[in-house]
Amino acid sequence: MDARASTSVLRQVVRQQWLILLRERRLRILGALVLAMTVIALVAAAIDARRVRDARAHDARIEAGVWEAQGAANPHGAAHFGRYVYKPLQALSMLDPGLQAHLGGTLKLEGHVQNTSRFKSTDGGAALSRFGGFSPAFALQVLVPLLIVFAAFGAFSGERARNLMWQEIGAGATPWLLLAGRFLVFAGALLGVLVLAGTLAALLGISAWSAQYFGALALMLCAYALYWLTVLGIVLAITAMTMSARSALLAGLGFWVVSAVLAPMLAPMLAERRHPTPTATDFHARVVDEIMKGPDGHNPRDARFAAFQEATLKQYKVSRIEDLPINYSGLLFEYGEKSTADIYNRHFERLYADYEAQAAYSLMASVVSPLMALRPLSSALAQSDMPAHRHFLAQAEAYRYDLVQLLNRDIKFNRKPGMREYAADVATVTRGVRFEPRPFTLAEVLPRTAAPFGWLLAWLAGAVALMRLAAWRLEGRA
Amino acid sequence: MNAAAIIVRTELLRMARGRWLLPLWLAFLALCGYAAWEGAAWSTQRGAALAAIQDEEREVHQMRRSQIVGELTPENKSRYGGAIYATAMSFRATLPQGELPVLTAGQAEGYPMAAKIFPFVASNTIFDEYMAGMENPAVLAAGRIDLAFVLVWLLPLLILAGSFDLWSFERERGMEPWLLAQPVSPLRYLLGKAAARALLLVAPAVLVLVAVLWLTAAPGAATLLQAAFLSALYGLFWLGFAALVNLFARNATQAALGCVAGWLALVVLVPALALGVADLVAPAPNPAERTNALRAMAMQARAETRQQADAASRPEGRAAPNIPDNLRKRAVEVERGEQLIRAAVQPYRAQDERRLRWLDLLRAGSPAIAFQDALERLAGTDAARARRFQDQAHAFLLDVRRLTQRYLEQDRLLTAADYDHGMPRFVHREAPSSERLGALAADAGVIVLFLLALLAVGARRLRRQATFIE
Repeated sequence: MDARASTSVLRQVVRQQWLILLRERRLRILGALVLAMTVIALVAAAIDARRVRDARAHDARIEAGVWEAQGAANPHGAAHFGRYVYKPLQALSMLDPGLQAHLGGTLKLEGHVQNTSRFKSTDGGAALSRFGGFSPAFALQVLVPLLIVFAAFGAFSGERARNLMWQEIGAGATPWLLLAGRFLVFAGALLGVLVLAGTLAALLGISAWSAQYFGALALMLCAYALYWLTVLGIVLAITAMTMSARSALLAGLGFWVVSAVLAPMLAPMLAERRHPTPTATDFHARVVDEIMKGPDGHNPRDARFAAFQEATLKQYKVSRIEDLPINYSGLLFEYGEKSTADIYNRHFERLYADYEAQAAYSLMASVVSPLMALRPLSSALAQSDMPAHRHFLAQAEAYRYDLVQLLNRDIKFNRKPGMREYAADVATVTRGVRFEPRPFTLAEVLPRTAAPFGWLLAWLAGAVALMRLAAWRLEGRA
Repeated sequence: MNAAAIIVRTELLRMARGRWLLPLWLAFLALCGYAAWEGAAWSTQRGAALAAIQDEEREVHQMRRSQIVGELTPENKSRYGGAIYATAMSFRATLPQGELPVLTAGQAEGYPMAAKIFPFVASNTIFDEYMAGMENPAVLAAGRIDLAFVLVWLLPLLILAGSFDLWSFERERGMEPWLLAQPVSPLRYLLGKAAARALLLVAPAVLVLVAVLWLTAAPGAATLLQAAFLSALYGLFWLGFAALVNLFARNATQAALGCVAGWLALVVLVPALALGVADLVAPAPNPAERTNALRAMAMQARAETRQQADAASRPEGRAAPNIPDNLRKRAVEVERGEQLIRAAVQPYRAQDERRLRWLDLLRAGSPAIAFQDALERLAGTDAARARRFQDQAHAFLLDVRRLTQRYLEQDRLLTAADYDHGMPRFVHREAPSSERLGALAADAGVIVLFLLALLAVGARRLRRQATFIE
């Protein structure tokens, strides 16, 4: 068959399938249901995002008030009292909340210690919480593939579809053209749903509109399109390979259960086994152990400070601590803070290296499920993944360190010998440092999306190859 | 042999000959085995963490005791304040694991497993150190494959996969008119077929569960029976659901669609919707707002006590006490702080309790939620137990404060004898068994109610069909 004839047949197949699709009541209901659920999830997520954003802005204002209300206080006491910072919500995390519920959006910053973020939305739940909420990402990643299975399992299998297929083949269409035609029709419908969802998401995130926002959204929609087309290709290949609609449905559901339910749960657990994460107790025990081996910053008489003391006296060319032009306790606090920060940084680096290794291991599970490639890609673009959180934590740590050292330096330079109690206006002392976290730019996110995009493309190519194989088998039977 | 027995026997034979039964069983067995293995690993890790926390308390006490015995002299007393002042007593309260932790991690990761208690610590911070886990958030977000997941999510799929064509199979093959022409009622056919599936799908699943639990956790007979009974009930509900779908479906494909749609609705959508309802009607209190309020209160307490510091100081000329006065001042500050904390926390606590009441109520929305709740209670990883522990740890802190107050009033120092056997110890008290059984009965009641609803709809449908046939 020449190219022009092929195109003509393909056009006819597409037209006919499109009519079947429109006439099928079951598909209309299913499509409307999934679209409605996606819209509800998007609107609910937008309302929730606004609530969280407002709450965090309010909390930040109150927290700043509490910090300033300390007035004159011992700067080191103020460092222990600490400050709280709140993670800004990224606009696209409304579409894909990623790991947000398990990360916590608040971080306590205090002297000597690096805390992990707290107040996860999953804290303090009940049995119902185990089922998880309903997010737009859940609808797009899990429910739409199920819709595809339900919608397309009877495209070739079942008595009626088989009869139609043989008639079409008899009329001159090749099995490959029939498969491609059905693929194009379903793909058109799916891309329509995706464009609708994307448009609604963009409208709900109007306040965040920027070139970066649209770039990330477009890439995210491309990734979802690749994922859905892959699932569609596989389901069509299954239906073309199986005689009965029942077998096609069961095989399609089996694929969905494995790729959308089991693999996404199993892969992170196996990754954790491969690269174990220490328990919080172990982690803190190791950190505290290392800190305790070092000198105690609160105790200037600690014998382990001898070398430091000697170096300090030498630097200031004096022979006694009392003769130093600075406050020695403040200097020790400064020195101690640096030591503990180094220890914490080292241990956290190791922890995050474990997380990264686990993420890389989980990505390898893309071999069995395209969702394993889509998830990290989507949450990376939404900046609701671990690297984005780590980016926030790194900025918060830099701020913490500057803040605490400012307080320590105030003691170092301003506490005079003989002062029994020293107090300074902590708000004035720390006015010079501000916490203004910035999210990743799209250019910074892009390198992390390359491998998952590669996996999705490979899956789509695999799905097309499977369709080719199914068409070839049908040709043999014809 | 009567008609019912013949139907059951025929159905058993047909199922046994089917090539799908063995792979289903094996898949379920493999999943149960894996989930139990994961559950056992989780439970071991948690047990080790709890032991390490308790060791920490013991080590602190031993170190301080040996300081008193071996290093303390009247001259160097000031260096050993941590060992001799009651204000520095250090305790850990831990929530021991329940009887069946391998069953599910449940809510264990959303609540603290321990508390760090010092007499002067602010009561709202005693759990802080044990709230932040180091688990990879990706693992938590993916959800753990534990036995509860296999039972709540996958057991229905196993049963539906084996029962979705319970009757539609006959309808599709054109056997329905012939069968209905026999002197056997449709209800009897349906019950016979369902009984065969209960024997070959539900019963083996329950046996696998019992065996796995017995091998990995060796629980008491009562707990094992409760787990088996609830699982059987849940399995029967899904079998009933498949039977009901078959009364409506025109062919096996429609029945399969109906079964999967039902599973999706009851296991995925209704719980998600219920959670949305809970968020709307009884939102969780904002913990960041609560923290800010408490920090403001702490500052208020500090300012107030500083103003009263002079009045609280000891009159001059009195003998120097064993315990420095600044610790007594601090005790006053802590007491005032506690009053303010209690007042500040009250509205948040009320909001929290309201939310939990709603979450509890909404478990009636789906048998899956009720079953998950029951499994968490059996495992000892439920929210009620975790909250009970929090209340008890808080009460323990107040006990420790009262004890410290007595030491301060008597100007008494801690001695080696105190470290040997005079220190209070935290012991978690479980809820009365009637309370636990009541909650389990409520969960079972929800499943039974859903089963009865299925039976009612099924009976109505059968009556209509009977009229039609007549």
